[in-house]
Amino acid sequence: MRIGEQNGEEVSITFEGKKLTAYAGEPIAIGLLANGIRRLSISMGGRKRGAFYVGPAPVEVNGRKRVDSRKEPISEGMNIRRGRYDDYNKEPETYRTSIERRYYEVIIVGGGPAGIGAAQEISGVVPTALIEKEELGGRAKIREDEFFESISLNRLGDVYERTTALGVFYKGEYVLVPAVQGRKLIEFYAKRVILATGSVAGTMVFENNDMPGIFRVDSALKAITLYKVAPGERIILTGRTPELIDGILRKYGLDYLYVPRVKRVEGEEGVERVYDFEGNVYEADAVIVSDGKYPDINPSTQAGASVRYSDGFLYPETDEKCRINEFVYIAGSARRPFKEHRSSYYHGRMVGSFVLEDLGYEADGRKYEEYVGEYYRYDLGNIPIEKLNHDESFVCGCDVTLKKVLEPIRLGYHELQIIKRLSHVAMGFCQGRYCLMHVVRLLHQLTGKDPNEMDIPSGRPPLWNVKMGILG
Amino acid sequence: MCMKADIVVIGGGIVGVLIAHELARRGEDVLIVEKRYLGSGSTFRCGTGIRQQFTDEANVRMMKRAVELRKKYHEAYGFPFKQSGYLFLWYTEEEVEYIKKAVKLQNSLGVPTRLISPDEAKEIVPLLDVSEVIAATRNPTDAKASPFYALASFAKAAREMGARIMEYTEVIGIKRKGSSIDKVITTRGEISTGIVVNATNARAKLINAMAGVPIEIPIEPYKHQSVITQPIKGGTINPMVISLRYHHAYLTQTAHGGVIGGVGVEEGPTYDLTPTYEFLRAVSEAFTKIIPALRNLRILRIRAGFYAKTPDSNPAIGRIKEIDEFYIAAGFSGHGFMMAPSVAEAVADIITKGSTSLPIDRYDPYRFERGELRSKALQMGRNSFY
Repeated sequence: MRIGEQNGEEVSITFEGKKLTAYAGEPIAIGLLANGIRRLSISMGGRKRGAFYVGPAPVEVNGRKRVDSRKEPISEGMNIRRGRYDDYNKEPETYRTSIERRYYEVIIVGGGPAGIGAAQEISGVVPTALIEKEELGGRAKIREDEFFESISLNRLGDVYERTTALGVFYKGEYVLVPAVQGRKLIEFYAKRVILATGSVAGTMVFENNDMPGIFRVDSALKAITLYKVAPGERIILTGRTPELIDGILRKYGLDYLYVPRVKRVEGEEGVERVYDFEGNVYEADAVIVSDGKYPDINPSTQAGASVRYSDGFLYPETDEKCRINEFVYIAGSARRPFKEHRSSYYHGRMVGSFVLEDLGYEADGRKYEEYVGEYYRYDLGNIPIEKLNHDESFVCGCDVTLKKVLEPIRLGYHELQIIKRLSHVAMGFCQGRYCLMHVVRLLHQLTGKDPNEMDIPSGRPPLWNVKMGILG
Repeated sequence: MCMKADIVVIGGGIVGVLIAHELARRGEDVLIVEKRYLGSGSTFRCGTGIRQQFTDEANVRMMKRAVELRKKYHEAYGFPFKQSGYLFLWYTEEEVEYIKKAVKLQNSLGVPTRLISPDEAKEIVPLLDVSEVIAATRNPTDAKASPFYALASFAKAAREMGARIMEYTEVIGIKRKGSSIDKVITTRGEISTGIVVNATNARAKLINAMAGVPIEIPIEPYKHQSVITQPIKGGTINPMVISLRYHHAYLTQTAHGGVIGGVGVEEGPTYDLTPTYEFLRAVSEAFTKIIPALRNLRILRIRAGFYAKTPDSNPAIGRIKEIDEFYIAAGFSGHGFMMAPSVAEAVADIITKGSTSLPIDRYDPYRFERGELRSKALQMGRNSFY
């Protein structure tokens, strides 16, 4: 259902042989959602999947397989078919166009409020690059955050949007951050790096939680605020942090029902019914999961940070200047999951000041301290394993069921690293971002092991999946 | 805390676990001490391949026995193991002449390798670019296995037969009484024992020094990396494909569908296992030359493990005569996962019976001191054989 004025021209597309109307420029998955189509792909394990929760969302477009329906913009006449996770194109179509090398004093990875704050602090003093894999603004933008909308987006240094950083590599006095921008490979060199890579939205384990019609809070926010398309007409909101989206739902006049904890969803092509643990059944066509936000530890640990646990989340260990070593700083929700985007922004400014100070400039980061507010504190949470069907509840979008994760634990493997390898959790597309916390929870629940005693896997390059043809 | 064990195996990788498994099977009292978690050194970062296509008799025989044993245990324990072959691609007449001799040797030892045409190679892996390939060698009985399930199955069976395993326990010293082993000192207490097996591969030199091994066994740790891509349809790349021309690349598909493999870019000696950008580039370059369609695949991650290398790329396996009793099985130079079952059998033989029928003379730890280096084992590394 469309809920506002659309950008772009109205175009005709075909999906599985059926003619539909959509808008040019909107992602395929959004255009199809607006037409009530939620089921787009088949997972490796043969499960029906949509585009908005976990896992990739490949479709076939004009005969080309494995097109990312969440990114590929719609154009007139597109002929779209459902895709499979294991599809690939036999014609080698991905080629790099060029390799460039750029030198800066400071590179900031992540263009959300923290990255923007850091860039504004630094860019007037030393050459700065701000790298963002999508568009500037991060979650603050898709939440239409008032504070964020009040700050101007100039004085950011050189901004590289739609540019995916591959990792942090140490090269003597310099740090190399290679990045992919379209078909271009850019090697950024700098003296300092700020990782402002933000947090990931928490997912939940329940029966059929991989079904089309389930949304991660960010996917729902994007559909509503960027493309003015409703996730559904009968929305259930679940999880411990409804506040990440309930304001937007109200603002856009979308009715929803808050069910703190979902036990099961059912449906044919996607969610039709939702069950809670009290025996209630709800008619629904969309479930938005909003269960906390957690620092994305992969960029920090890839850069060499150690991980600690407290207050319900894992975070990179940093010193008093938010450094993990002499080169790399962590800013914003990548370090602690701030409640307000304002806090992330000022934390970014503060870290920016620390960097300037370390580079020999006069700066006083502490002056921002008073603007940096609270971060989320949760308990670890638990997964009600005794009440769930273990074959139908998914810990991870790569078809890893609750059963597959519980098996090794029950066999006596209490090392997270081993459980990971035996269950294949945290080894797929998200590299643990949406599933690792569930394993931490399960291991704690079953063995009482303190998360600080767990051997947490480090992020590995590339930080986000990139195609071999661009690097080769 | 003071513990006791008749035999202490230091190192909980595939070699250490299989040695302990074999000893436990023979009724010995054995304890594994592992610094981190089982498999955390190199086993869990290995390329999953099990190859018999070597160019010398001992390695061919050891690998053939290893395949037999692994097949037997695959049937008993149920871990995935697939004889999907190795496919070597050759690009020059010189290479083909050289490899013909190796094929003859392999055939004479019962390994059914065949020299095949580029077209036949393309039939086996249709995505291959064979435009520059002039011949290929294929042994259908070479194999691949998941290191995770294999190691976990052997560890479980070893435990059931009475072996003990201590993880997150680092050996920090070895106490001797004269020429005899007295105690292994760890971060979690001392272990009284009479027999130590050094199965630490990359860290073998450190353990040798702790035990006072009087000879020089030059095993150096080199960083080797591998890549995993997004999963694609199962059966797309069945064999382990080897192309020495393109950075000594090896690649295949895992049971989960991802393409796994590496190239011979190596760094060292070093204990650092940080994955590098240079590898990311090199592996992408090589893989997309061998199979152009891989251009379209997304890389999920790269990770590093050790090649614990000796000067001739053959391991050091045997008893250190001056110490009562100290054995070494280390320096596998990238072949530990594939060779482990027969190494375990040989080491258990010499511990329990004093000798073995397996050809481990080639791996005599004293050969370095005597300056009797072997011909180099055919290895996917920077030092090629031709």
